[in-house]
Amino acid sequence: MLEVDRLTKYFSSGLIQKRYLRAVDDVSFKIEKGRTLGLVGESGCGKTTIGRLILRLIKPTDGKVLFDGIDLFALKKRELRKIRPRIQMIFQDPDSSLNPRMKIGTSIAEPLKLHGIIPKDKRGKKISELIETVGLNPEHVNRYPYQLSGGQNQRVVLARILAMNPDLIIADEPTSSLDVSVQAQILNLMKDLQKEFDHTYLFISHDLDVVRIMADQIAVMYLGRIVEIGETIDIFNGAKHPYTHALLSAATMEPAVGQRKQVILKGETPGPTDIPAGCRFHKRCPRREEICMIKDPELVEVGGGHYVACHFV
Amino acid sequence: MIEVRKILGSIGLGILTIFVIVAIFAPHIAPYNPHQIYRPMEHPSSSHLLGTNDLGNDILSEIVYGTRVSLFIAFIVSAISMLVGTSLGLIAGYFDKVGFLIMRVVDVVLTIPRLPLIIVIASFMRPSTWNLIALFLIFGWLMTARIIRSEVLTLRRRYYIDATKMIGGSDFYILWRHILPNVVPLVVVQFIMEAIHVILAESGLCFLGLGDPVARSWGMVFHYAFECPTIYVSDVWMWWMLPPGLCIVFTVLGLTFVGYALEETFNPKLKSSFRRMEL
Amino acid sequence: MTLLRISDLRTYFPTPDGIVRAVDTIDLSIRERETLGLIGETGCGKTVLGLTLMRLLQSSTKTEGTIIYKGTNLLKISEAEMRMIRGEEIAMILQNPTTSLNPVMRVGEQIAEAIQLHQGLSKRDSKEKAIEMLDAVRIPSPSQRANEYPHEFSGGMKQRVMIAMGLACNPSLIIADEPTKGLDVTIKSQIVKLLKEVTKERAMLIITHDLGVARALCDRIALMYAGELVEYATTRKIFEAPLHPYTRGFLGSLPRNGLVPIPGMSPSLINLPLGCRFHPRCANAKAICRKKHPGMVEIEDGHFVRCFHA
Repeated sequence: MLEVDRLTKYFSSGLIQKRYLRAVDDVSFKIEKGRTLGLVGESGCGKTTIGRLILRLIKPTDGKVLFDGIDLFALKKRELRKIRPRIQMIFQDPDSSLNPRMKIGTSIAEPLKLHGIIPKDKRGKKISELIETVGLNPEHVNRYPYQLSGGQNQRVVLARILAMNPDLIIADEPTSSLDVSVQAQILNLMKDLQKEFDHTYLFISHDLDVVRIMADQIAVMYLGRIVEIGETIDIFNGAKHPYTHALLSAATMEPAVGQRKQVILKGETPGPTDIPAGCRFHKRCPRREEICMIKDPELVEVGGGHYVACHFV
Repeated sequence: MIEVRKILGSIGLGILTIFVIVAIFAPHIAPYNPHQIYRPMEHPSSSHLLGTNDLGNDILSEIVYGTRVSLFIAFIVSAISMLVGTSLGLIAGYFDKVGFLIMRVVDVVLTIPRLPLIIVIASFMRPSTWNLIALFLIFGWLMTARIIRSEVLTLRRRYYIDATKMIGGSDFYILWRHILPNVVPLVVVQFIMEAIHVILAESGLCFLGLGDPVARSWGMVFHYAFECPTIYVSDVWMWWMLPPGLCIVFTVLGLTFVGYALEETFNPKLKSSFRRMEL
Repeated sequence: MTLLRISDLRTYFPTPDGIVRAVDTIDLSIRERETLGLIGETGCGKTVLGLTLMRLLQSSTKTEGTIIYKGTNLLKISEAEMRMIRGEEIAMILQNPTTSLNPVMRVGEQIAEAIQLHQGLSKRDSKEKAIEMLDAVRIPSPSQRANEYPHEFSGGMKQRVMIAMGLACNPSLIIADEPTKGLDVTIKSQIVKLLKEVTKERAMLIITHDLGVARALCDRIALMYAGELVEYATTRKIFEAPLHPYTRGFLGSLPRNGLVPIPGMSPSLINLPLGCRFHPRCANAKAICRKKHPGMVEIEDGHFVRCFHA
């Protein structure tokens, strides 16, 4: 369903002396229909940028995105408009995902109005259906976002997305700002919806625990590159990249499977404007050696669909 | 809980309503035609509650009809300024390249000292109500454009704007349906501030003698009172100078109170309740 | 040795919509060099509890009960006396370092400020001490960074600065309000490691909703729901044998435990349910739970639960 091929995005700043912010650098992955790819990484790794690129909210510097075989960046405005409903995004902050001055019923109806798929008289019924599907009360239709909790607002967002019947949903940290128990509710809802409607998901998160439950495949990103990608089971039981080990042990406060010690990285992630030469991770890597400072490792296959970018596999 | 804002807002609204009613029903409220000549320099009596001016016009009638002029100028300048300012602000905030040009124009015009320029131009123009309105309009929209643009820049980043783009909403749809409604509170506040400014500026110009001598606003009544040589020697100032002055003061006060009360509605953070506390 | 004992603490806010019972009868104690975790979700009142301990709430709030710190009831002393305690005896590390640091003041000055106020050192001496503190929290090149402004620091660094500010006057008790909120996962583990060292010398009350952090740092944990404590025991007991349905539900809703959600939502602190505050969401709710409000009962040694059916 979705194929990302060598996607690259550099942000440039400055008129005279150009400085490049390499947000996304040569990223490639595939997601099959009905499956979920979890995109994991910390702040500044480029995961949000990838989401926005796929949605064509920003223009790429290089690379292609094929959605259901269609080259998204080659589309003209009118064709793009037709495709738009098929790819949707759930944002991190449910409160600013809805227009605060619009009743939620109106917000949900908006896509139906814009695309005229459903005639006016049948719209009310469709909205009630959607509200029920996401677990809200029918009386909420006339409320404003500020009257509902974060979890409820996120359900409204889901209802609105369902109104357009998308094929691909990009979820950008959908539950990061929610309480743990509410998170469980929303994630369960998303899983049920996926089963029912056969959605394809790109699930972006920094929380490995969540991604483990939600994703079939996981891609770990660092500073704009994918450093490890594979099936969820393989990543959790046999991660190979030192950064992945660090993430795993940080999430559980215990060593990762197959490792002896908990990995606590020193230092901080360098900003995307000063990306180190050679392997991007070498400055914080506990296993670094000479070669790491010179050569940037490529993704190498280490087992069925499991790729790692490190010199020591 | 005593809500000071609400009380002040109600008082302000009351004051403004009175003035608006007077302006609308002026012919029914004023005892005489303001241009009708009676005995000049009359003290207040039962037939002329505020006496007559140096020409013989009934002062009370002048003030009642003056309400029309003063309020009309203020509201029409504000209304048009808001329309122009908001439209330009919306465009400038949303479309960067055009916005750049618009903002530079705003920057340049803002460096010109407003009141001195108005005074200079007014002294060369034929004094009339419409000329004054045109003059105020040159400057009225500038701050609004700036403020609205700045708000639009913030609103653009909200996720629901992206969401609307994903649904397939066009730029103008987004501006009209999603950004404009969220900007309206600011526009209302700006409207009030501009109205206050215009009333005071217009009165100032009239005081200098640059106002319309035929359609006399409160400022002009005040001006003629001031020009009268015996104005302070006797008690004449009490019924010729004071009333128009008080009208100006109370209108501005009314507008200020309403603005103050509305400020809380539009900026809920100012509310004195704990509803939004982080628990 | 008990350092802090909270008895019968209540904090209410009168609002136009009703009285918000943010802290409704809390009993807690912290021993010297012990780390107590206060866990709860948004809207349970935990931050208010922290602010109450520091008497940082507005005068319109009503506080009742006693907070005995080293023999003194903190709620009865004057504001001037409380100011002596704040920073020097009890320090609070506030949530969200981005908004808790003054953006127009150099970082070193902000730390030095606390030192100057409490220890009366000269400007230069307190500046030096501030640099020492930055070093203690492992900020590289501390003397250089002390002259920088908060926006030049990353999120993790800012959190360290907040910790340095808290440690500046060597308090006996630190209250840390969500110290790892919003931080990247790898930075979080660094901060947790730092806090582990910090608590070797002093007591800490950690307010958080992150169970992983609590597990790594706390000796004992108290669960807070709708303004009151529902369970209170050693960390091991809480994770291995939780007794209260809310604790069980909370643990169960974690992704690694199966992502089983707790139905419903936390109650508003103005309209609390009658009887047990958790009963509308509890799978085991019986008739008595709807009518009577359970008290805190010691089920086994040191393990307290507020439930009729524990």
